[in-house]
Amino acid sequence: MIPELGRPLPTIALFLLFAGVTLYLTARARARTNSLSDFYVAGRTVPAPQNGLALFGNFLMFTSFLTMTGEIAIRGYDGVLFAVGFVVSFVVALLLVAEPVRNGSRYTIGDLFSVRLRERPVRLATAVVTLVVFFFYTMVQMVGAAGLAAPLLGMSQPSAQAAVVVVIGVLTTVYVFVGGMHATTAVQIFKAVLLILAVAILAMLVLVRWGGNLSALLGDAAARSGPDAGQWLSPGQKFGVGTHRWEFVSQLVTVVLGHAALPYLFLRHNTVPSAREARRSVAFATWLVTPFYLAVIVIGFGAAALFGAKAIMAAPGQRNSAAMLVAGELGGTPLLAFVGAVVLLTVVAVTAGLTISAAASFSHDIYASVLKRGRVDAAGELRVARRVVLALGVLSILGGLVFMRQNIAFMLSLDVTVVASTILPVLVFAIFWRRFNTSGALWSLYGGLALTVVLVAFSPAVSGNPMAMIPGADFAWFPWKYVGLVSIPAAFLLGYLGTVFSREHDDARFDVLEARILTGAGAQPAVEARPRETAAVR
Amino acid sequence: MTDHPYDPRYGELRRRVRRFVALGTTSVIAWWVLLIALAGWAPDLLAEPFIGNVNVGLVLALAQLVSALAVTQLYLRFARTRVDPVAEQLRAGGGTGRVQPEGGLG
Repeated sequence: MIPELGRPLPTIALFLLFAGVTLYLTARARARTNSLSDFYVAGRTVPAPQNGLALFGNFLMFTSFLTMTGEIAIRGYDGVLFAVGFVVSFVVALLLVAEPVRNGSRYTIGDLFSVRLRERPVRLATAVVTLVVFFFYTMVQMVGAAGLAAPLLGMSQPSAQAAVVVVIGVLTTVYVFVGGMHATTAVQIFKAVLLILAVAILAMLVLVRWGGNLSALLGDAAARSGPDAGQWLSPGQKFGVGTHRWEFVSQLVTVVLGHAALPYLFLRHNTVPSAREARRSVAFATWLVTPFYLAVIVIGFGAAALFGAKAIMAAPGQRNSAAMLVAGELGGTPLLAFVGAVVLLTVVAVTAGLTISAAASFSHDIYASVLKRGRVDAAGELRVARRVVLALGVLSILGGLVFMRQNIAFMLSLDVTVVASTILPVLVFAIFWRRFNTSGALWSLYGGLALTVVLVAFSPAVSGNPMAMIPGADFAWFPWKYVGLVSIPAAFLLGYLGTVFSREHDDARFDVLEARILTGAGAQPAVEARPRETAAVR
Repeated sequence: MTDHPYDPRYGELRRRVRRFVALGTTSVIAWWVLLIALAGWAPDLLAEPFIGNVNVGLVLALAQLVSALAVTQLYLRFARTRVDPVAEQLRAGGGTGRVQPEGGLG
């Protein structure tokens, strides 16, 4: 027996309350948003703990909570591994990404690359990749949010779904347009606190229900979820055994490498005063993410034990319903409303982070550098950045409405794979390889992007089965949905070949970049002098 | 643009950071790949009961989380004690040892 999900009125009322708070935070942020640096990186004034919270709030999508809970409830151990991969990616980000990005760039990753590579081609290529990544992630947020109208609000009619898309798009655009990174940061911190609270309450309720006996909880979950009680808790539920094991490896390696180098989090490493604070904020976020996923694992076990995989897949929103089912069973209407409103807030907080980073990529890399060749002042760039925010808001809403009824969940894994096959290799080469050059970067960025998109387009994610984006057609000749195991090594190889086929290399500029990353000499200071702000932005 | 003399502390810092980052990243990823490989090729081992219904696989997954936090703390300590003081000296000296950053940021 499936209890009803989604309480429209209390959930909407609570979400409106949250939205009111975020708009108040945005209005306060407005007064502090004067310069370009305020707009892009909150004037580099965010202390490490707050930035760690905001990083957590920026990183955790509704899928990391809702879809992950369902995945664990349904796939058992394979779902658990997936959740653990997200935590592992934070360690890689701490070691490889945070400090180099803070010291080596002003705002975008294009800054870091152009310290040592030819500026305009490399900025254009990184901006193209960043914007593609933005597009897929934003579609996942918007279309995903439309799909959440059923499990969260108990409304499945298209008008309700469209309303969710429009509300989320408008709120996001207002935050970023009015308050830039100050507002985005405040909204993400607010969301992070509420999401942690929601997950902690749910996990506690599950543990209390089983008297704190984890073994009994696991036993009940396994008994509900499979013909053979032992099976659910052992690996192999998602991909089975045999050749599909390689696809499993592909997915889990990509999860770690891709999430470590997400381009929409690069601005977040620049919102702090120094590399030391960037490091501390990632560490802080790791300490938040670890218990968060432990709690999600417990909730997933609880959903499996209370309802079982079949009932979850039959509920509105399918696997996204698992956490809501648990909330309804253990906490009734108040908890359903609270969790539902927090999930909607999560969507806006993440979309705001995506929007500001895409706006920075466009206005800083493409407009100011590629189009205007640096001949534009900070005020002009800020004006363009704001216009881009409006344009992205409109496009996101339109895209959300167009794709609303389509199954685009594969865009999530596509996106992570694109990142691991483009930004990651170029970042690693740029930081560590003296010989690396522009040609290598372009081969890796464009080649990795094209290869990933083509492989996924001809994979079972897009066609050839009833769960695909285009279920009616079959042109899937590539056997895996998760193509990282092929595309990531290929992108590294392309970067290598592109480099050695071109004679260009600049040792002196590599030395500059390396010294800047290691010591912070020449890095952007905590407080930028005003005159620099009006100086031409290279 | 004055040429700064080569500072041996810079070379030492560079080696030290590279070693830690390379070792840390590869061991974190190797440990992760090991667990995935066990899940793919030795599922029976991971399904082995440990305590009650908690099996070896769940214990290893938990161990991944613990080691992620451990590496995080190790790195914070390494950076605080072995990197930050040297980096600060090199920065305060107006240069970075070998090279002088040219102009503004890209």
